[in-house]
Amino acid sequence: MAIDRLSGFVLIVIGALVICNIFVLPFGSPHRPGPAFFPVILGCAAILAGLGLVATGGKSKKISEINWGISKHTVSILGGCLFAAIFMEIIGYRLTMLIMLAFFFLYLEKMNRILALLLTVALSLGSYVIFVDGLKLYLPKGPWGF
Amino acid sequence: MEATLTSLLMGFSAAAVPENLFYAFIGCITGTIVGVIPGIGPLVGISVLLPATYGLSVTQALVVLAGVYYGAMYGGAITSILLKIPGDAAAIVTCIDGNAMARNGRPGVALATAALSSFTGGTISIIGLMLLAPPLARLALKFGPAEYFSLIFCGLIILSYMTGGSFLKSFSMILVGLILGLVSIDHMTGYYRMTFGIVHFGDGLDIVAVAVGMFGICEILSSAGQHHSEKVIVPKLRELFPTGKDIRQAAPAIGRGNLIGFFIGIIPGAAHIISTFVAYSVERKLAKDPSRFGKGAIEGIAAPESANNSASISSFIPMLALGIPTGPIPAILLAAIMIQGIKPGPMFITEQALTFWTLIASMFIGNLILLTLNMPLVSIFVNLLRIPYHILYPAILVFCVIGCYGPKASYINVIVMAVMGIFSYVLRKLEFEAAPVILGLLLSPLLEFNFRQGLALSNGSFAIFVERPLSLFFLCCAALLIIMSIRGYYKKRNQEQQPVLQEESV
Repeated sequence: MAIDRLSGFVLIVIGALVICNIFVLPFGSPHRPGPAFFPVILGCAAILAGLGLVATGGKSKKISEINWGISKHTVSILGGCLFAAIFMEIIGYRLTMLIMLAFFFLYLEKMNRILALLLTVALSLGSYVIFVDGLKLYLPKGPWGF
Repeated sequence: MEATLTSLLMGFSAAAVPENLFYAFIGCITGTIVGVIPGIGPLVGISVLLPATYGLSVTQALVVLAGVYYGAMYGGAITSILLKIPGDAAAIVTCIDGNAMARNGRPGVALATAALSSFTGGTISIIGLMLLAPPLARLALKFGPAEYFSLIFCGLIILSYMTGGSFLKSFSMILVGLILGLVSIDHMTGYYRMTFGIVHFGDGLDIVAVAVGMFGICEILSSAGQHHSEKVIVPKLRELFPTGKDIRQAAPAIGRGNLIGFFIGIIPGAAHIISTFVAYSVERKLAKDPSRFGKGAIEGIAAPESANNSASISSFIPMLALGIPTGPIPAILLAAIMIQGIKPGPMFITEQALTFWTLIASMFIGNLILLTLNMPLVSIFVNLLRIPYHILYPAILVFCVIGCYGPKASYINVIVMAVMGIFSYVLRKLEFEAAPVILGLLLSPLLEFNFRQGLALSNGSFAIFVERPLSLFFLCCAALLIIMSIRGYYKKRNQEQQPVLQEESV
């Protein structure tokens, strides 16, 4: 299937989901539009745009021709973000970053161990000093105060 | 005119205090570094630095972030010229003749031309900003909800038309952004909309998390594991000065680039990128010997660099005068103003006059700082290019996480960043633009508010949007662009079908 056609179908589904989801709220009337009024218009516009893409998208590239480029780097980077999100408030920012950066430098990039450890410590502790002590931002500490 | 000059002097007296000079310097240096390193770009730089400005006043925050923005325009040219890798999208065109001139043994002249052109383009554009923004803000005070709705709608249609590729695809992305902007508490009635029970989403999706995800994380996902080191050309300090002939050749190109960039910058869309392509094409068409282009023609550096700095400054005009951003970067700068508790819009220039004029003055100072720094310190900036990407991207990831977590101390923003990163990566593979999503997200609440207020004022009559002359004018402009894009689609389709018909008739 052509990518524009698939995108059109996805947009139609998004529009339909918005309308279904939002209709539990009051629609109101033109002289007093409710919270569902504008979202329904947007949902309808999305469905129309989706239909347009389906109608005109036949000549675009095929999905099978896409090189998705999913490598261990892609998965690791996303995993790193989710790891940071979940564990930062549990074990603290510094420990989370130490673990995340050690994974990237030592395991993923297979760097020289000493250089990797130096960079890991410098980035995780250095960024904490810059942003918390220097710029007065809040970054969480772990249960041991670290 | 006298009032403008008095206000400008007031701005200079505030901008020239050591504290504000320091922040302008920090912004310019950071922006240059951000621009030099490929894959970061001004949007990620500004988004990541935004939390660092929370402890500053609104003036200082804007001075730093604006410095990062136009500093990145300078920095992008360095990588383009010395490495033939654009530091950001706006520096793509500079690669062509800039790197060719460097390989012809004149890297210093190429860099100096880029720096001088950026300085001139930026400075003249700042004069335009200070002359146009206040009267535009006064005009905007006469706008009602109908005018605002039509203006924003017209702006989004212009964005769809000007963004490269298909109009329908760009408009689809704007619709996605507008839908994402619905995720919040409805400000008029207090109902939670599309928050899926997550209380955090009551304030809406965080623009910084979305922007960092869509541009920063997406770029890292696309580039990690693929970078190769390139040979870096390092110029000597004595080679940095152009000759009289170089200046005579470059001067008209700088002037034309400046004009092109200034007017394109006011229009919604990827203005600083489009302006560089348009400026380059104009120089090529006007040149007596177009064959010089691509081989180190000085006009091929001067015009795009002047255009992109000019556009980056003039994009502040709608942002400051109307409170309407014309691209993702002004959108983040607007978020910086809103985070400080100030409502952007036409009243900003009058109610925050000191902030506005201090910002203008600091832009003059910032451009001067960039010109004086970029030339002698270019060898230092160039050494940044020697840092391997496999060391750089984990560091960028750390700053992205801090930038998203820091503002509201919310791990949910980090998850939003990751999800939007995947979303933008998929969009890139499906050949959709990500920038319209950001604008749609930011403008959605404003568009809806003015739409509902307009209807409420007219007792439910949609005619209010066509009865008011300015509103009708904006809607007619939008309709004209939609008709032009439909016409363009059918023309292209007929052109594609004609060779097939000719083959069949043979």
